[in-house]
Amino acid sequence: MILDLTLGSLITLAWVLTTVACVVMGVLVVAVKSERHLGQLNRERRLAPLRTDVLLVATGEDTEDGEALARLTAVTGRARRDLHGLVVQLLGKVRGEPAEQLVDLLRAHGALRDAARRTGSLLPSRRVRGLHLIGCSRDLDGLDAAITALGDRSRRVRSQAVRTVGQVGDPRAARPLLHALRRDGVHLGDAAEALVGMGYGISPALLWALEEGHPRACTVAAHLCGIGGVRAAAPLLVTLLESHDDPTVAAAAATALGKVGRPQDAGALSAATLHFFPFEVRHAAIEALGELGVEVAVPVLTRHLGDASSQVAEAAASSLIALGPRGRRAVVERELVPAAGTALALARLKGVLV
Amino acid sequence: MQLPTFRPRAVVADDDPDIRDLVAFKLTQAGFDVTCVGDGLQAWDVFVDSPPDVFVLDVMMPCLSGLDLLVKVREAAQYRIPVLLLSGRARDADVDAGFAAGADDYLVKPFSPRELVHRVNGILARPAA
Repeated sequence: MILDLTLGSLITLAWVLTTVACVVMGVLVVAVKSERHLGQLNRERRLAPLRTDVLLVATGEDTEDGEALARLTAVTGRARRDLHGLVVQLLGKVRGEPAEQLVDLLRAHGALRDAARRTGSLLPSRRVRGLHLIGCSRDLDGLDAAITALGDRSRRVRSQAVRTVGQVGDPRAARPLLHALRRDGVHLGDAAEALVGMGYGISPALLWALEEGHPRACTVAAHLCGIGGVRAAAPLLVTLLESHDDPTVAAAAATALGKVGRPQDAGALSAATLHFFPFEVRHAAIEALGELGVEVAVPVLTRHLGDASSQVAEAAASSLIALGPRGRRAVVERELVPAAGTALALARLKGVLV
Repeated sequence: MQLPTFRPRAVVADDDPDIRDLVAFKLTQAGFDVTCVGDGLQAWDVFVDSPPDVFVLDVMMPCLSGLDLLVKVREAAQYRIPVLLLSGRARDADVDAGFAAGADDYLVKPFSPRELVHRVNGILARPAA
């Protein structure tokens, strides 16, 4: 009976404790939500009198004397901090002179100087916010801080630093960015996008990365040399295609050679189509031969019409069609080969062939 | 006696309130009578109620996307209402899809407010096809 009583008491106690915990959690959730809601309302209340001036500046409708900008510059206290949040939001939405004026406002308030300082904070979230502000405002003065952050210990900060150097768009950051790709945590697509944002001045950094040979940096550099038309990269791309251990790099080099290669590079591409190369390299080399546009590739591509891989065979047929009359004749003569038939049908649908 | 001036009516549909405010403010300053809505369905309701002179539509919106709304408007309208798509999607394929759906112009975010007004005036001035 005592045991029953004790067990019953324990169950009751557990129920009571669980109920109390649930109530406390509920109260906490409501309190946090209310606090956030109140904070938002207060922010809106403080921003309401400033909104017209912000819109005047952000739409380029301010007077020639910059009256609205002057009024915003004079804002102090908590409203100033709220104003910075709104300005940062708008910076991602407008460009041109209005965006420059919004940046001037942040600079006048010392927000950009603070942002650069914040990149040295102990808290990753603060470092990310600092970098975000430097990027949104394309602040050249913050570039050094952003470059330093490319080697940050936090993956989140490194990712933000990549976006930031891309937004600032100064090619001086290209080499540090490519170097940062040696560490994980930076998405190659983000890195490529950031490098594109830096314009044509990145060519020396791309050539450096190709020479260095790190797989991740090489893949991005080869891709950008191709789409950016960096013809000086051709000899390095040939070396990568012929000797790099990583098939992703070799395939990227082949694709880039299709765009920026020289006629004599057809030999290296042809060799890369041989069966002992990995599939992705062979496929890329065959496509590149079509894009390179040299007729000496016709016999090599013709041989691949009967390749064991249907994807390679179809790529060979498409490349032959892209090579002009001699290549097309080779495909038409072998129309009964499945890959050739498919490529011809596609070419006719696209209007390349009649 | 001063004659009343004609203010073209523009409907701005975007789920981002900042963009709505910016576009509405700029178009109002440029002499438009602006109605703002937060999604494609609301924009459709406005269209059914009283077709505007020009639409400025975001592509990605809740309920009904800008592209779907555009197709519906093109099917339903008895005449061609000028439509400008304002979108953060900048790839060639996105722009092609916008024009294929029947847009008269396509502007990528972040945008220049001044350019927006020029483009809206441009599509309004274009003779109807």
